[in-house]
Amino acid sequence: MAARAISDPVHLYDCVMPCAGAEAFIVTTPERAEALGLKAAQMRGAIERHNAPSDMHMLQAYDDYPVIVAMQIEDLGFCEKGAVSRFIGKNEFGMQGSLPLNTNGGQLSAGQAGAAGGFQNVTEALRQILRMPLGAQVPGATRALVSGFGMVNYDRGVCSGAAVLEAL
Amino acid sequence: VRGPVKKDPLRPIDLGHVPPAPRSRAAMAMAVRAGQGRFMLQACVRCEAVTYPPRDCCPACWGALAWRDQPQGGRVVAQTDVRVSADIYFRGQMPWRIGTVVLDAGPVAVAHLAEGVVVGDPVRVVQRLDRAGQAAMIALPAEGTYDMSEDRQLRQFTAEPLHRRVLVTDGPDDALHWSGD
Repeated sequence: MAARAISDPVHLYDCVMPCAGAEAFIVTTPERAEALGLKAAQMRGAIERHNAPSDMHMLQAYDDYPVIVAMQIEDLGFCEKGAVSRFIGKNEFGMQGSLPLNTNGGQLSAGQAGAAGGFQNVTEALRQILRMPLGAQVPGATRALVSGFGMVNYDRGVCSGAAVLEAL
Repeated sequence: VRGPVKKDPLRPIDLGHVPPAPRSRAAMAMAVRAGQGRFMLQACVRCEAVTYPPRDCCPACWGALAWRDQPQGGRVVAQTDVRVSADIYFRGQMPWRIGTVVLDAGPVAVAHLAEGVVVGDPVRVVQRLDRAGQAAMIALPAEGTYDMSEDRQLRQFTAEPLHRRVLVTDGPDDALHWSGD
């Protein structure tokens, strides 16, 4: 919090750091995944705004700045618009918490690997629900909400998207 | 005349950097209108929704868009002082005040703020060309006239020659009376 201000009230350590990185997952049919002996998950479809997703086992939200995560928590329907500070105070976001959030530390911990950053949350959600985490495991998790949020400076404005992933 | 303080002769000269210039085709169309001194935004020919930033079709109904003059009023709902920028032009201009403005026309826009304009203020929004020749939204006080040439930040959007270097040429006489092709 004592770090220098970048753009009030965002300070240095609220900003994602650029890094290099890559990730991949295979898009295929459940039948082929089974034939190859691969664990698989299914996309359960994008959710409608303001449908309270109370049955999600975790949230993997795009995190270039903490405020962007807070905006997604509101707009995905976890709480009313404007009530996110109360929601954060009432919930635990760790692996055992009421809403495990960005369980690999997210980009704010790992860095933003250019365009690969957009799939960072999908990859971590898959690792969690398929029981192949690089770090800690969210107990009993089979369903994850993944959310993306992006903006092109000076021109195209904000784009966002969300999907529910469920282990098969 | 108030004007800016004269430059310290020991300070390195301004290298003439310009703000980021690449834009979409739709945003270039806005710059053309801003250069004409108009305040125009796209409106859907089908559902009449006004949209910003410039797009290729209506985000509400996918209808075609047409440029229309719009009311210039708005209200500032958020502001920040940008203190660090990765951009070489803005790096030389820090701090830089910007804010989020809810336009009377409908959309929400990020705008450069005039000195003294703060959250909650009603504003008059104008479009001007920045130094890269691109359209920029500027939020001015709602009442009265505002002299952008006396505003440290907004002076960048003017051609006010006071305290600026000017190039005087001895071009041929007919160049002075050029009236277009």
